[in-house]
Amino acid sequence: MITLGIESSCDDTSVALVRDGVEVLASLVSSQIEIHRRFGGVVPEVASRKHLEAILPLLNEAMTAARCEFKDIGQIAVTAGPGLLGPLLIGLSTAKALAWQLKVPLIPVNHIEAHLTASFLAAGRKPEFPYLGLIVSGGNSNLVYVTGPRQFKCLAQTLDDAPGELFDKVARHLNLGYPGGPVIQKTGEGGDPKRYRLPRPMAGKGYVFSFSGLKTAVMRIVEQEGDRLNMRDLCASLQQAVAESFAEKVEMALNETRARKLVMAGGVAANRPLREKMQQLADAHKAELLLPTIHLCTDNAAMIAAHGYFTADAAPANSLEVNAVASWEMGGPHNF
Amino acid sequence: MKYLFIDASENSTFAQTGNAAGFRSQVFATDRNFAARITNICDEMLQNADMTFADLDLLAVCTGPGSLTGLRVAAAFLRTAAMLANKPLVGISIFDWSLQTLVEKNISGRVRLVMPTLIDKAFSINADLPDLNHSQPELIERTTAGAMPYTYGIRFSYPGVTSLQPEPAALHKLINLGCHSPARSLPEILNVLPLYVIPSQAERKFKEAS
Repeated sequence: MITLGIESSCDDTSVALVRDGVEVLASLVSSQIEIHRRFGGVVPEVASRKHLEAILPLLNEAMTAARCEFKDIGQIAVTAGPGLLGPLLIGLSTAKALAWQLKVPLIPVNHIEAHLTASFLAAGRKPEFPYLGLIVSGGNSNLVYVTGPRQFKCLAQTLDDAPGELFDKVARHLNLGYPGGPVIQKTGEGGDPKRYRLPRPMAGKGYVFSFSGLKTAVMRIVEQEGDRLNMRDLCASLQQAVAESFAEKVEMALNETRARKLVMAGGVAANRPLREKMQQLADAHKAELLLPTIHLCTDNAAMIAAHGYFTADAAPANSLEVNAVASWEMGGPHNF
Repeated sequence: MKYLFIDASENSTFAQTGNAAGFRSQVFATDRNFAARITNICDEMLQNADMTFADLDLLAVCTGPGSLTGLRVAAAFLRTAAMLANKPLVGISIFDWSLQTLVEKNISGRVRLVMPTLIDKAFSINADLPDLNHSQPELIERTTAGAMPYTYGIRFSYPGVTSLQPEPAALHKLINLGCHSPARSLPEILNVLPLYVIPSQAERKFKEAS
């Protein structure tokens, strides 16, 4: 069965066609990153306008790339949350029109859940349970134990900033540009990760993340070092601190759950020091680490289509009446 | 001509179907749930008019001004439906609809329409009826809205301003007059957008800062 996926939860408009949840026929993304760069972050109203402009041309392009006709589509999966409400509504309304016209099921998808499925999709596999999932992005920092489709036990969340948010704020403070993650990684390449002593927030304090203290610590170093500041070492040290903060909690969870699959997902999963740290951890625990490809790390509709395919049974019968929702816990009920 | 029109510019949603015999309109108390109810609204309107989607000759959507979120949801839905079903789509602004309402009331000559915005200002246009062509919308202070004669306030009361409610019969006439050529190809459909008279708040702040 071919699932058409639509994603518009933030600043990327994406349309994808996926066969049987594992074979990507086409996955296209129209990024607004250049438009939002000048504002130093995503502006919801601007993003909504751009989604509306982009979505139909992208849909047609994806259909052509996949060599599909609309009659070939078996179901529509769409991000219904969490995310920015205005942008979400563009994707949802487009998906509803398609499902309504084509008379095929509409599957509202939780965007964060789909990020985890992306790692299986990258391997061309269907999700295998149980597994430990770490979602790291601009808005999320979740460690979950996943026992089945849409069945999550939340182990840890952040008390304040998400790691992507931390990278954005630090990059802005250091005048490195936007988005923060890629520029901090690039700047820190070859740097000494032990040069600057940064805290490991919440170390030894159980299942909880916190990153706002790291931002403050970085700012203090910048102030103290002045002209002596080595930007390359600072970025390397920051990434090391983030990777080790996550590693401590993930190791706890691997020991407790005895999970033998570790899945990392979200935009910050593209961060190389974090990927390397998780690989070391997985190797030490004889666990398999599943990582998304770089394309599947960021927001994309292929993961929405794949997740929709594997959670179709859990979709409400009256899914055409589902509304978009800014906050939606993983595994939580749909919003009407 | 059989048509379906949706106006989601306000908290409640206005929908209208029409054919050669007349029109049928309905207001739905959708509040913030318009996106959740859009397919039900379309189904209900078509069923009440004894029509199917396939019967429709034209889709019509209100382009505002008004709630940008509602306008975009309606536009996203109807643009997609039009493209998929290969049906023409026409965007109708509240200004055009209101001017036609005045024409139906036999008002002619120079008129000015004002419509409040959320930022304590008002949109304003000028026209010379019965010609429906009008000036580009501009932003004025609400307090000056009643300063000129022949000023009509769309869904708006203010000293010196005559309140005007766009009427379903005028909308029916406007659609059947075919004043607006409908979008048929994808590039034309992509031009059916909400009226963005003023830049977003972020854009305004950015402009001020730079």
